[in-house]
Amino acid sequence: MSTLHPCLSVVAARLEAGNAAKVADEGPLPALQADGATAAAGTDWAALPIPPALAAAFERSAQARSLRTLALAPGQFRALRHAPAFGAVLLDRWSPAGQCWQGWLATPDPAFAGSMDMVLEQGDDPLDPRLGMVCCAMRVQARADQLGACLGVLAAERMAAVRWLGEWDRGAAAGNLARPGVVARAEVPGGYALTGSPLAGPDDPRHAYHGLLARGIASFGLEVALPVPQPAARGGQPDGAQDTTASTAGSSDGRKERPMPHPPAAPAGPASGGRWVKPFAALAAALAILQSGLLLWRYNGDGATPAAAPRAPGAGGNDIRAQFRPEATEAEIRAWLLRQGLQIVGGPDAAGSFMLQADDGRQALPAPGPGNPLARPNP
Amino acid sequence: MSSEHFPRIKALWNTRETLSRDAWEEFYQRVMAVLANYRPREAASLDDALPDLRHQFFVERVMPGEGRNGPAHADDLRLYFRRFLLDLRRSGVPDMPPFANPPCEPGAGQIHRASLDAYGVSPESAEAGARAFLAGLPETSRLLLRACGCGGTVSASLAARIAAGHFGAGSLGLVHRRGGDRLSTARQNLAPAHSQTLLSRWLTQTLCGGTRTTPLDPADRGDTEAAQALLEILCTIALTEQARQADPAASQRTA
Repeated sequence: MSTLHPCLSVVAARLEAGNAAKVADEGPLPALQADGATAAAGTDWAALPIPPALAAAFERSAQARSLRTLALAPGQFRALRHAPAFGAVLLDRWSPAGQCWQGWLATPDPAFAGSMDMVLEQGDDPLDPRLGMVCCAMRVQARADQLGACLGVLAAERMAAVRWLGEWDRGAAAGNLARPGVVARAEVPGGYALTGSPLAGPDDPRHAYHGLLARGIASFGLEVALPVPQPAARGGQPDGAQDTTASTAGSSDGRKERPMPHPPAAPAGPASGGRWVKPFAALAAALAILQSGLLLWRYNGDGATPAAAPRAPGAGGNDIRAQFRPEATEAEIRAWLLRQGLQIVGGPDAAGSFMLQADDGRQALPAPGPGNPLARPNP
Repeated sequence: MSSEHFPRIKALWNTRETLSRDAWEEFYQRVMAVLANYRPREAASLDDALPDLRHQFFVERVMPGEGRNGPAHADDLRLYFRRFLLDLRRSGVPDMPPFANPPCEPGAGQIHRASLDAYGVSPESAEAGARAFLAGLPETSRLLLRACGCGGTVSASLAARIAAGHFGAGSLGLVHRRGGDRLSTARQNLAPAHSQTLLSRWLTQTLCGGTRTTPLDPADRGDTEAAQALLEILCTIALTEQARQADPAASQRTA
């Protein structure tokens, strides 16, 4: 039997307010109770052992110290000012409209990596030791005043790998076995990346870990960012495209550099002030809309006659199983279904799969990718 | 006396973002010394041993901060430590139960060892090569190979070392195992994306060490069968060594 490091209680403790760095702001220290506090008399402190992993972390910290004062730019890892142990934000782009930075959450815990997370490694040096992995499917946005020191800088090709891994669960689609704690190489365009394995059932500790990350994102005042428009869609200047292109100023993704607007200092505010409701409300609303929308599609306009009688998965010879990306909107799915001549005839099942049927009887779906909301065809 | 550590600890605390490795090590040793004989009652209700909790405190609460208000006295530092323990208790998150990953069926390669014949590799020489390969790996890579490559168990005492080891895991060459595809790891190991890793180079050297001049082909059934047989031999030996280290007495009894 195996276990992961660190314990979930340690991750959860990062969310608690009693951070040592904030102790001085919490008022005078209460008197220490007489519960065993004695001087370490006779301890040869210089002979105390230093675990090799910690010594390596010290080395990483020392190497990364020169980066701390860099000016904000895409590709940087930035500590969360009020939650330095919780994680960091890998900056992707500045959003002038939102007056915030969009990027991905980075955490110190590579043992919890899934197949949509990129584990950071030696080639990414110099890198502060609190950077363990990038959660490529967890796009967040943060105001400039929420960001602290620069902890590392990711190269352009690695930024591209982060985007690629975050598009959908390619590890699950490839059939990688779900094995919590396993980190291994996965092929990405132009090379490889270290990733975790796909998520397993409810006993997989990574589910609880993700729950703690969601709590942290909310309680530390981060916002869940919408998926970035795909390159193919930018040509048509869809809603928000101007915002996006205006902010892709850095060289993080290898595109042509252009002057980046200096982000004005946002007004300081409380880190949490009730904003935790917002991302969860948005997610819940999106889920409700998607679920109700999918139900509605199964009925004609009179709201009573099924457009296609629901059947048991696999009962129809032309049925195609599919899973949609969690962040795909109802509008995105609807438009794609119409374009493809598909309709939903069943689901979702326990695994979140829907049964689709094609007007022309075909049984193949296009591969997941830009412009379509599929996470996994034929799961 | 803990007083010998102040105000030095405060100075180190207030300059954390600029510390050298040597200064970090001094900082850690001083903090551990001050906390060494401190046994707060909050620790009693936590599962981890006190030395582990002190270590976690340093990693979680001392290293990441940027504050300028370092502890001026030993009592301040001890209070910070107590607050960390209280946060651990307050979090209310139970320890996750241990889980079992699917093993890689060590020994299953026995029936495939005939596939090595065509490459002039006997099972005995393959095992000797595997032992030599393992012996040449750094300890962290051996741990990663057992845990992530061979389905070995990860005890709590090893979990931290393995988590830290992922940072240098890229060069080893572990790949993800795929369901329903017995040759998936060998096929990936022979693919160009992973061909420069330690594992891939060992496979190539072992199978192409004789007269063969062409590289191994991930699309060739014979190449992947032979590579998979080697990987399974490697895992069998790695897991046997792990079991021997975990319980030397049992290994002697079975020998």
